Amino acid sequence: MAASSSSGDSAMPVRRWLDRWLPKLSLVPSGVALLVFVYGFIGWTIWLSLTTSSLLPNNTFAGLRQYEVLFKLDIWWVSVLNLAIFGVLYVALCLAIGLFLAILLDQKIRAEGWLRTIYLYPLALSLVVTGVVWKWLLNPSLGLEQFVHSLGWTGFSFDWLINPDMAIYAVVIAAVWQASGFVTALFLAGLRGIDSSIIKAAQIDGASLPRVYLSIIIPSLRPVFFSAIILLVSLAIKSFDLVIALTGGGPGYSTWVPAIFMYDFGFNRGQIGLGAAAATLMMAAVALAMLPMLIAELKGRRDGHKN
Amino acid sequence: MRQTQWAVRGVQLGAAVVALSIGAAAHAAPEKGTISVLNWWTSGSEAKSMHVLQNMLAEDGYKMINNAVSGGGGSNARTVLKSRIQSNNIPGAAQIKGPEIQQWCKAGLAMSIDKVAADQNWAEILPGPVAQGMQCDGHFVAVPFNLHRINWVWINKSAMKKAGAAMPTDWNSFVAALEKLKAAGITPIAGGGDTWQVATEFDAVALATGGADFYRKAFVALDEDALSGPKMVKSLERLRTLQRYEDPNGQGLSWNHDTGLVVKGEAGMQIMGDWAKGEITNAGATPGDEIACMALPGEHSGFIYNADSFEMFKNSNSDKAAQYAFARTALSPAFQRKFNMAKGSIPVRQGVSLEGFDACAQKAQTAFEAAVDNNALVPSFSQDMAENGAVKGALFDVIARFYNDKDMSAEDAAAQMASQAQQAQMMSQL
Repeated sequence: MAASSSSGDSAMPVRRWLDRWLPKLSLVPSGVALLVFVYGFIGWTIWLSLTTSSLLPNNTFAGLRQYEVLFKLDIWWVSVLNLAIFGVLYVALCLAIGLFLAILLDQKIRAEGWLRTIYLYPLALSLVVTGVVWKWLLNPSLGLEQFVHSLGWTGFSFDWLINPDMAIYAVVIAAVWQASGFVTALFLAGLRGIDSSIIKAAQIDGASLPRVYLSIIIPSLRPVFFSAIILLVSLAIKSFDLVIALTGGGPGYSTWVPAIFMYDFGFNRGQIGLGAAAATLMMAAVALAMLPMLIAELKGRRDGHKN
Repeated sequence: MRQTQWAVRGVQLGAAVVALSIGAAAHAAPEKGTISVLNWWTSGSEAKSMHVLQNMLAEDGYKMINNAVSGGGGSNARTVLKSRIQSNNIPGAAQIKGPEIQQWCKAGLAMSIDKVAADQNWAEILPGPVAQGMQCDGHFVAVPFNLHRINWVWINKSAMKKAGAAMPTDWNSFVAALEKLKAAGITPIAGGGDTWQVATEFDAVALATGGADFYRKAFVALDEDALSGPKMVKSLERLRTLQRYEDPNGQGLSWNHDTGLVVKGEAGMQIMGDWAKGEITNAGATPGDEIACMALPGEHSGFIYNADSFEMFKNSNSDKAAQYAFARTALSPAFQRKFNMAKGSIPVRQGVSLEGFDACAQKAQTAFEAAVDNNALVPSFSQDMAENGAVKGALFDVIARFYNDKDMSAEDAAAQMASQAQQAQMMSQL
């Protein structure tokens, strides 16, 4: 009797202790891994960008020397400009096409399941496959241009892939093709989540269909826009494999993006310091793009709770 | 950012796996010693050649572990090497060529193989500039395997006949032949698909136009006057001329695809190193027969070489005796014949019989001997033989810009070459 009660007394604090600490304990391994492999390496990369590291990493401090050199390199600015063009068009086109397709799919049409699968399917392909397929499609002497010529329209010309000024737009085409189906799925889920009674009420009040979409449906998709933009922006900034497979960075280096710059200088050219500087700036760019949005969204949510 | 980290993690994981497999293999206890060899020779004939070497070493009682890392023209293998050095799991020998040999040696990692060099008398059996490239602070630290020639033109004879073009003998007759090919509706030159291919063409043009002294001053010594001077301008103008005879739709296509076009007669010529012979043979033609080989014609002749080599590391996971045996066997006449016949190159060891080699290899050997006599043997800048990765990258960038911007003048490009190359040089010597 006494024994059992004492064991019961000692078991209770252990259990309580476990209840309180087990969730935290079970998070420790992933927390440590995150700390080392993500934040640790971020810190190491930033440090390397301030050293003279060339073929191998070293710890000789060089101040902002690597950044000075980086800013003087034409190839870096070409990469940055390409990322700007690619990023803006990629995000905008994916959102526009995704929203448009989602609205069409939401009209209670037949075979919606089939269509949804078809639109989502490109996402199942790896970016490398996408790149190779579009490389053949867009090559003037093998793909689209050749096909149109064989139909008899010999004046047709579509040489973006081999034109240094246009090649980055060819990358946009392939990337948008790949991701817009995914954005469609996101929007469709959002559309399905909208309370249909609000729409009915608006219609009873005599709102036209465009009005309903512009004033009610699209504004209520705000969280979906937020998730989609965050996903697309981070995909755009780290884009690497698609460009490598589609153009190899060419013609010349006209379709280089910062990720390719970072890889090539860091690993191929034995300029690890310069590569690390590029990587640091890429991370800063992601932070700059994301922070205002994150703050706005979190603030909005907190305000929402208060009300 | 995140990609970098994943890459780093992936590489480290890969290195760990390699380390484990080496650890396991080492227990097999070979009689005399084990060497692990990091390389990027994964394609058919090259991988086979490594097996030949493995077998020859096994006959002598040494175990060779072949760590082949595919992809990226060796850049993946280089990344693995760096991470293995960082994690103190250093291979006994790694495929490294050109000035990178000196970089690793300066980092204090290279092992001297002077003993083997003295036994085999490398000073005698290796060509002077090649032997020099294998040394660091007066010690041999690397062993060369072969000599590739870069400045070749591969010409489809029947396409030339169809176009009524004569075999060129100098630059003007070369351009005249291109013009005839163009008039006959044949793509005159298959090439220009990527910057590496353009730079390989430019390599040959620069030697033919400016000569060996100019080439060495510009690409080896990075002399500002040579890089921005009239000979460089003239070479760049000739590259522009070549560009006019290349199919702009060939952008993004690989060099071996281009070789195929020449064999099929859809294109007349290709300017490419002698590894193109493998593709020619695969496509069912004979180099030197249906597909003629000649040096790119110009005012100067010479031999631009690319020598594959393996550097030895100290404090490695391999046995010193096996490292010596690796170097010794690689330069043995038997391996030199077998390896180079398969790879399309010529033996780097002098005095090895070329019996059974194809006509173009014989021609390469003759050209090589003449170049040695005339001091016209130069290391290829486009194949990493003349400069480190940073400087080579800077030169490639200017060539790419020039090739893609038809409004850019040759003078501008030459001036940029001088300034960019020097900046990259400065950065890599910080």
